[in-house]
Amino acid sequence: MTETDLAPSDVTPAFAPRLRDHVTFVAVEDEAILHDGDQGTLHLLDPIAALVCRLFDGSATLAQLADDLAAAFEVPRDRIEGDVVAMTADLGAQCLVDGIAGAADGVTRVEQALVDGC
Amino acid sequence: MGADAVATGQRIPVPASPCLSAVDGLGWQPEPFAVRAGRYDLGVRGNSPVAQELAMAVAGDRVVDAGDESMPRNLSVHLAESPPDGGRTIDLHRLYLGHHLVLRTRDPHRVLAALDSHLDAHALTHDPERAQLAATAVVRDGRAHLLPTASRRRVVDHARRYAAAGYLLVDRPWVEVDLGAGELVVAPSSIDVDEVAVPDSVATGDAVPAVRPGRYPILSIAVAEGTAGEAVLDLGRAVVNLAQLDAGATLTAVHRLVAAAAGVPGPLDGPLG
Repeated sequence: MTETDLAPSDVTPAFAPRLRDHVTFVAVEDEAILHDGDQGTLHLLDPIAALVCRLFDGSATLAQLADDLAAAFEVPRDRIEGDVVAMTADLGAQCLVDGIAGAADGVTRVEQALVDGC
Repeated sequence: MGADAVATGQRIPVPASPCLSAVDGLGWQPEPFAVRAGRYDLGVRGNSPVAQELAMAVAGDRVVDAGDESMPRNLSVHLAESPPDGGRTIDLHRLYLGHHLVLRTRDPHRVLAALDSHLDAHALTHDPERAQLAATAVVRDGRAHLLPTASRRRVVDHARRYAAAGYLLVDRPWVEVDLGAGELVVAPSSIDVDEVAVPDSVATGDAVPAVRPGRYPILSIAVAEGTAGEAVLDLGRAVVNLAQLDAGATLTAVHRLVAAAAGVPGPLDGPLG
């Protein structure tokens, strides 16, 4: 993360998203899981989020992605653009998107396995 | 972030809870000893000088401090005493991980072997190609069944009834899985626990046997009902050593394993009738 990273609320359709280098995208049928190698966390994406996330390449803007998705699914472009911006901001808040500042939490799996439950 | 990047000697605090207070109230030696297990230092205590001494013999050269009151009580070894009249004791040998009861048995060597397995598991020194899953594993007829960690207490409490139905518990805090082969791997103990001399003051009796070291094809996995992604997420979150593995390949293999495995058989899905 850098000082130039956007706050999640400042993400606009002009933003060109890409996943952070430490994030691995794994397709599971039509869903996907993101593995954050820095935090050791996993995030499940529903089919729509998985599809959008596949298109994150750091060059296409969210507005361009909304154009493509609106054409492909024949849904109102404005609605899709709002959803894509919100989804990207949400992933960014979880430290998964390059250029968006997020917050982290750091309990290791071994420690969690030891203290879970009562 | 690999294990090598982290300093050794980290302690794993055992948070205060009513369950821990109940375990603490059972009576233990006042000073746990500290054992180096990979990057961690774990506190181990016994319920008597004999239990403490035997536990220390199992830990062997992994002991880094023979008595340190400040250590967390990570592992607690309770050895039942022989009744003075030579009869059969109703008390059982037990092993606790934090406040979790993870084993009850009449065989003191099985408790010591389980202690060794727990220390070994924390060292995370096994084959980096294998996933270590926070799960409860049972074996029946040479096939493995993976259950949630929360199922362990039920299996421990009803070990004899599960054994009568053919299901034996794997005495490990998490289990090692060869995801490519779809097999549970039960590694041999790092020491020959049977060689540890147990004095006559410690009770012995017929015990449910432990699962023998070997490889067991995974027949079933208990995952919550839901989508394939939810199942992979559940099981992926249970991979303790994911940071040491290729996450993409591991999660893809977890997906294959979940897709190929059956749901757990009825007797494992709740208390035995």
